[in-house]
Parts: sequence; C-alpha cells; structure tokens
Amino acid sequence: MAFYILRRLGQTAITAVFVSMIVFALARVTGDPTILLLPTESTQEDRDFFRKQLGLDLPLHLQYLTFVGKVLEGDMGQSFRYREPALRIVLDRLPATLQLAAVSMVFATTIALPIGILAAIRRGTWIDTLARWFATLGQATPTFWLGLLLILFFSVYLGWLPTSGRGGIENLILPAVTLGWFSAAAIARLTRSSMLEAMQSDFVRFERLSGLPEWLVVLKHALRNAAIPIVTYMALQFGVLLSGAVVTETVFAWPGVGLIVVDAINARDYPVVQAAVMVTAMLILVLNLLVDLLYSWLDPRIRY
Amino acid sequence: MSGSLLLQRWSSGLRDGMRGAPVAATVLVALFVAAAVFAPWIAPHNPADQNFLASLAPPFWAEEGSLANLLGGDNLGRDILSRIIYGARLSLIISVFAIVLAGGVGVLLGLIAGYAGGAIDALIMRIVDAFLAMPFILMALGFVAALGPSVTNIIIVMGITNWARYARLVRGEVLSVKSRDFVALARVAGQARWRIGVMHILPNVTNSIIVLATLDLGRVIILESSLSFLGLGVQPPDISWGLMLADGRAYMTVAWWLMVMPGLAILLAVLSLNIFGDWLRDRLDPRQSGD
Repeated sequence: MAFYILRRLGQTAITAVFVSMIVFALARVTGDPTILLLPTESTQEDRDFFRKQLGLDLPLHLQYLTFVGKVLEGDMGQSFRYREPALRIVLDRLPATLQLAAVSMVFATTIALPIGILAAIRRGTWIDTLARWFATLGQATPTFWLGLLLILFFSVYLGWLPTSGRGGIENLILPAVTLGWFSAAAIARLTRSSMLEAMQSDFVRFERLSGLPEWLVVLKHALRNAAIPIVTYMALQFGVLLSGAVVTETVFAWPGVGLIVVDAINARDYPVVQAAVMVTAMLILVLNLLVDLLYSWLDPRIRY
Repeated sequence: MSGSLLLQRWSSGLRDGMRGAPVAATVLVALFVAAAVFAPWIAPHNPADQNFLASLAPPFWAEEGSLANLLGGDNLGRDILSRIIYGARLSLIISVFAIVLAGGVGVLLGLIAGYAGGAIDALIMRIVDAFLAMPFILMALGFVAALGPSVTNIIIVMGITNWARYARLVRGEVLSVKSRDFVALARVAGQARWRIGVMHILPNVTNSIIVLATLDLGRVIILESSLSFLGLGVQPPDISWGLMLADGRAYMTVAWWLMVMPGLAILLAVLSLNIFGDWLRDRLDPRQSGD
C-alpha cells in the first residue's frame, strides 16, 4: 500500500512537470510580450532591454527553468491589466467557481442516482427508456444553449430567477443546473450500468433468494457494490465541472475563474490565462490522485 | 380497443423507444453530412444575403411566418435555415480534421508506448496524464487566443487537446493484444517490430478507434461551438452554429428562434452522432459497451 501511494505520488509529480510544460508552451506561443507591453513608439533598444529583463533572450530550456522556479514561489507573473499578481487574481475568483461546481455536483448527483437506480431496477420498462433518453440527451446538449434556454424560460418568461450575477441561492439555481446537466446525464448512465452489473452478481442473487425484501437488496447490497465506480466517476466529473465552468460562467456572468479567463483573453492579459490554466490543472491532478488513492483503499483487490 | 390495451401498446412502444433510435440517428447523420457537402444546392437562400423584409421574421408556423424563410430570418434578415445548412460545413470540416489529427497523433504514440514498454511507455503515459488533467476548454481557449482564431488553428488546437485518449486506448489494446499467440508467433517467425505493430496489432484496435472517433465527433462539435460562442472560434463572415447562437443571444427576448434554432442544430447533430456511436460500439466493440 505504502509503495503504491509513493508510486502514485511520483507519477503525479512527473505529470505535474508536464502540465507546467504545457502551460509554459502556452506562454511562449502567445508571441513577444514586449509588443503588448510597450507603447507602439518604443524603439528596438527598448524592446531588447525589456526582453533581457524578462529573460526572453535566454535559451528555451533556461526560460522554462526560470518559469518553474517562479511558479514554485507562487509567482505566475503580473496581470498586464490590473498590475497585480496573476495568481492572486485567479485565487480570488476560485471560491466562486468551486461553489458553482460543488452545487452543480450536488444537483447532478441528486437527480442522477435515483434515475440510474430506477432504470436499473426497472430494466426494459418505460422508466428505463426515459432514463436512457435523459442520459443521451443530456450528453448532447450544448451547455451555453441550455443556459440561454433556462434564462429565456425562467428569467424572461416566468420572471422567477435572476439572469446573472452572484448573490443568494436564487442566483445559483440556473447556473448550477446548466453546468450540472451534462454530469447528471453521465452519472445516471454509469449508475444504471453499474447497478445492472451489481444486481447480476452472485452475492446479490443470493441475498434475494434468502428472502430479503427487494428494496433492501437493492439499496443496501447492490448499491454498495456499485458505489465504488460511481463515486470514482463523480470525483472525475468534478474536474469536468471545474473546466466546463468557463462557458456557464460567461452565460450567467458568474464571477469565477472562467469569466475572468474570457475577459483576460479578450484583453490579451495572458499571465492571468496561464495562471488560471495552471491552477485548474493542478486541482484536477490532485483530485485524480485522491480518487486513485481512495479507490485502492476502498477496493483492496485493485493493484496496479 | 380498450383503454388498458391502448396503454399497454403505448408503454410497449416506449419500451422499444430506443430500438428505432439508431436508424433515425443514422438518417440524421446522413442528412448532416449531406447538408455540409451539398450546402449550395440545398440552401434556399444565399446565407449572406441580407433582406430587410425578413429581418427577425419568425419561422413558417408562426402567424407572421412565411414559407420564404422556413426557420425565420436573423437580425440582418439572413435566412436562418440556409445559415444552419452552411454552418454544418465548418462543424463537419473542423471536427473531422481535428479528430484525424488527434487520432493520428494518439494512435502513433499509443502504439509506441504499448509496444516499447519500459521508460518510453512511462514517459508517454505521463504526458497523456498531463493532457487529460488539463482543463479542456480553458486550454483550448488559451491556445486559440494565443495562435489567433482561424479555422486551421482551431483544428490544430482541437487536435492538440484531444489526442491523449486515443493514445491511452491504443496502448491498452496493444498491451492486451501483444501477449496473444498470433503476435508471439509473428515475432518467433522473425517479423520486424514495426511490421508486427502495423500488420497485426493495429487491425485489432481499429474498431475501438472508430468507435471513439465517432463519439468524439460530437464532443468536438460542442467544443468548437463553445469556442465560437465565446468569440474565440470561427470568425465572421464564416458561418458557425456557435457564432449564430452568440449573435442571436442579443435578440433572445424579441426573437427566440435566432438563438434556439442553431442550438437545436447542434443538439441534433451531436445526439445523432452519439446514438450512432453507441450503436457502432455495441456492434464493433461489445467489451466497451455500457450495457
């Protein structure tokens, strides 16, 4: 077990290095930052001086090492626009995104689990068909379109909920439903197939033969057997939510990381973009690590 | 016919509710491809033609709608149906090329990783992990913004951001096929390594790749339309469903169809591709099936 944990930690560290390389590549393909930073009338000497100051005259591998060194110190550059550390700007917005993703997850789970379980119990009935259509439709709906439809219906037509911004619970409902929709469909689909598998296991068949009530067999024994893949998948879906939040936040003007990234891109404020990509990627990486460790703890049969 | 019998028929109809879906989906996929390929011959109007009389004209079934603009006109009086038909072009071009690129890179690296094993395998798989951990849309946004939003760049970025799953899939398949007898025999028979890889292993993973690629088409269509919706994808005057939706957003309260119609086009295209892909998976690759 200890060996497994160490190995996973090592793997994650190496993966983190590659993530930093991707972010570094992102920083380099944006071109010469001096063109953006300096006034248009600046001379070639100004530019060369500035490039030297930023370390852009160094060979690429040294530039990368400088970049990593700074990242480890928590320095991801200054926002061109706000003259503030890019990392701080991103971290300031992170709670809003985490809140949205968490509420979306709760929403997705609350509707996906009952749908998936019911579909598995009533396999082949109209309930199952409806559930499968729900899953299929949910995975094909463009997030931004769903968001706009919800605004049109619940905010414009019915006037029940606000269209944008962050504030009370009423502000959270539409964005959370929009963001969680895809995950709800995905989790429902997986719950259905995991439950079907669990209910066909010898263990559950035996429980049923031994005269336990059906609901107890389903909820206590089958669900417990199906829980591991479902929980793992939910954790992975959380990463999807963090990344997908950018579209939802734009539609609802939700002041999270995604909204500031789109703003930053439009203003060519690249350090903020890089910091946001880095922070989100690292969060997802840590999440994946925790999921794997949890998995091996829950199901000791699994060895890699 | 008695009521209960009707109800029975109705519910058994629902029970078979997804049986006909692959057929309908295949027809829709065919329509989508046909719209993309034959757009100039199918579209009732030139998609760029502005007609003041058709400005914000409602779809034909509405009271003021007319058959001239079946799905209505946009704010500049351009025919929405024609623009959706033309929009299918870029959606299809971008997603197909992006997946060919992603699949090509992924399959190659996956073959190398699975076949070489050891340090090379470990290295490639860590890179795969890194790409899988990247926040997808954010990374695509960042790269498109950096490179500039042109169709070629969108394809390149979609390729860069999507290859990892192909590599992982192919590597896994290679590992499982590698130990089987016919590969061992080929090796004993003295065939070159690359030849074994191409002649014996690749054919065995083709089905899984085709299934993944079909399901990915829908994902990439949504991703492209998301980028275009955010203003960082396809640029006007090119026509993209995501862009149409973004334009229609401003008129949402007075003319809902500007925003609803292109979204419906995305939904139907992705839905039919997904159902088609699931059906393919059940036929070609039953091990991966969700059932």
